[in-house]
Amino acid sequence: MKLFKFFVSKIFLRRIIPGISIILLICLSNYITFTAVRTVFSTYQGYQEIRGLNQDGNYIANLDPNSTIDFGAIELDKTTEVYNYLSSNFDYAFYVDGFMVSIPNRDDMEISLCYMNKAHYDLTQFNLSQGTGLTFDYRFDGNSEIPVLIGKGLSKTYPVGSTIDLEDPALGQEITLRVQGVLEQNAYHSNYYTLNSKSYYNYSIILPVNEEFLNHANLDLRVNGLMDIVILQTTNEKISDLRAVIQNTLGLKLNFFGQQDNNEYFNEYYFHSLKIVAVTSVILLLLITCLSVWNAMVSIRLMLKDLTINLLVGLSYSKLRKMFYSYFGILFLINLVIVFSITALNRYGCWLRKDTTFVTYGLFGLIGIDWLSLLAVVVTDIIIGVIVVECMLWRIKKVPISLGVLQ
Amino acid sequence: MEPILNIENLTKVYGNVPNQTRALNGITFQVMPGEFLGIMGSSGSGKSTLLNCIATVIQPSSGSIVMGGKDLASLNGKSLANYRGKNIGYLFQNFELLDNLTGSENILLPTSLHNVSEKESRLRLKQLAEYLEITDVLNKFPMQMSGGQRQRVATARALILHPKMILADEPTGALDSKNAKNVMEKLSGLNRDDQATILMVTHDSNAASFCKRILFIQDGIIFHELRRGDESQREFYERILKVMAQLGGGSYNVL
Repeated sequence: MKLFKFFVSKIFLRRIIPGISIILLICLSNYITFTAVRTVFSTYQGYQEIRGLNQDGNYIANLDPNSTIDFGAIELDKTTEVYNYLSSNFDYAFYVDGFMVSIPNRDDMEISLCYMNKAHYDLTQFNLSQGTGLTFDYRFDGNSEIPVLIGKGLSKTYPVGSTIDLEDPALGQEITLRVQGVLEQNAYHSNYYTLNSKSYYNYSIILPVNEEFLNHANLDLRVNGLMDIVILQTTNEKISDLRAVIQNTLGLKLNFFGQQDNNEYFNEYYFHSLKIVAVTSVILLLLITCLSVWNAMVSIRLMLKDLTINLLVGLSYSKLRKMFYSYFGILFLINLVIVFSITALNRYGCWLRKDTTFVTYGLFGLIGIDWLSLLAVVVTDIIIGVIVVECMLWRIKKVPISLGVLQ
Repeated sequence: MEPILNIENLTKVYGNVPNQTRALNGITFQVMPGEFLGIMGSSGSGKSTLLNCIATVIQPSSGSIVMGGKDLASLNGKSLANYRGKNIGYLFQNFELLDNLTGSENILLPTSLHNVSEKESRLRLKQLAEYLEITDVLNKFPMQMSGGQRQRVATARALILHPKMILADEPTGALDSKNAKNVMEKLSGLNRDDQATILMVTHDSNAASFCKRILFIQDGIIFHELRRGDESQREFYERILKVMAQLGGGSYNVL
């Protein structure tokens, strides 16, 4: 330890510029690796989630980019017509989120309400930590309780079997919800068209939407539901008819994308982007590795006299190798802690800002993809470390211990 | 008594055919424990090459070097590092102290490399510093020391692990006559009082006169040997000068 301290303070860090350069290069490589790997993992998770919906014969709706919505011009009765048409002719998965309510809870979070029908619920397949799944055959008569699933963050305040009274913004009336089950921590929903972007259900209430509920819902819920609706097991012709009905009835121009369209979109946009992210990251990492090696060579050149004297008074190459690995191990560890801290600050920041849809559970809020990305950083560090250290030793061994070096 | 160092038919050839230079051409000699041996010769005679072969800085082309019963050719890796650290102490012409370390840090460098305890290291440092009269420069950096002080600090570094042999390459080469004399007296004292075995390469006839035996090398071979016997240093010096005159070098050393 004494020797190691001596080498670090008196030799490795003696030359300030190469010393700081290598620390910065390692920091950069760690950050690039972490960001790239997390993006890839998160996109993969989103892709897996969307794969359940993106089946042959299914069509996912999306508002035409050139169409604008004027809620004031849409009549509630007209939406009823559209939903009647939908119910008569199609099976569809309905999902709307983003309606916020304030109910008492331990963390004083705003609560996000998510509405989904049975088809969407069946395709999503939530994992529960407590209770049972949603049922959709409840009566909606203003007095009965609606069974709901809640996120982990609400489970202490509202255990399974308890009730929640709130004014539902989608209904505009007081309702009573009965907690039927608790979602596993960090259950999420990916954005259909931004697969690496997620909303977490930790402070959400999942409400089952049946026909009766929908009939009582306001315009916002109905129109928003149409914009992300997934029509199941249908044909292109029937979709064309639906598109026309919606446009004629509500003035909304929706595009419906089938499996092939979606696959093409994912392939062209997402896989292409991911490829760019991956290739760019690999190129950057290679570049950083080369720069690190070059920097290490410069350091060796500057340290050559010191190292030669040490070798002449009995330093062995194996001891030197051990010290180089220890030194780089510590540098990598410091940088790993920095990346971890940045991630933890981001995650914990969501808790501080009470950002309902982004708060996550885990050590400092870090979740699975964060840990996997940190693991990827460790692997990259090991590879870069081995390359840099072995190159340094190769360089040192290449210059024979000689008095010529000293002179 | 067994020799501490046994060199047999040592050769060293630099370069490739046809531009080869034979620096050592079959040198054989022995060094006994407690001996103070000088190697003299003109520039390019092969004396530094010989010292560097013993220090394992250079690999000989053929022949053997046996130190304490161990053939140096069989050493590698850790054992080679151990040999350099524990069996030999190297004194350089230009001292080769690390500029960013204080005197004591420079001296203690080998003890750090060879896991000598802090207490033991400090004890050895104190003894050597007192003997070499460098106590007052232990906390100074090399740039703040005189040439003589630097060489004595380097001597302490070479001695801190009690090596079997001290190899000195022109230890007075970068010193003025006063400091050179001082350093040589210290080396001589170490040999006389502590039975330290010293092998010194030098041009300097004055420095060489402190030795007990001198080997003269020319064109890679030993061409003459002087033993001091009961002679005074002055008488031995005179004899050295005569041999140097024969060699055609060293006239500038005549006082």
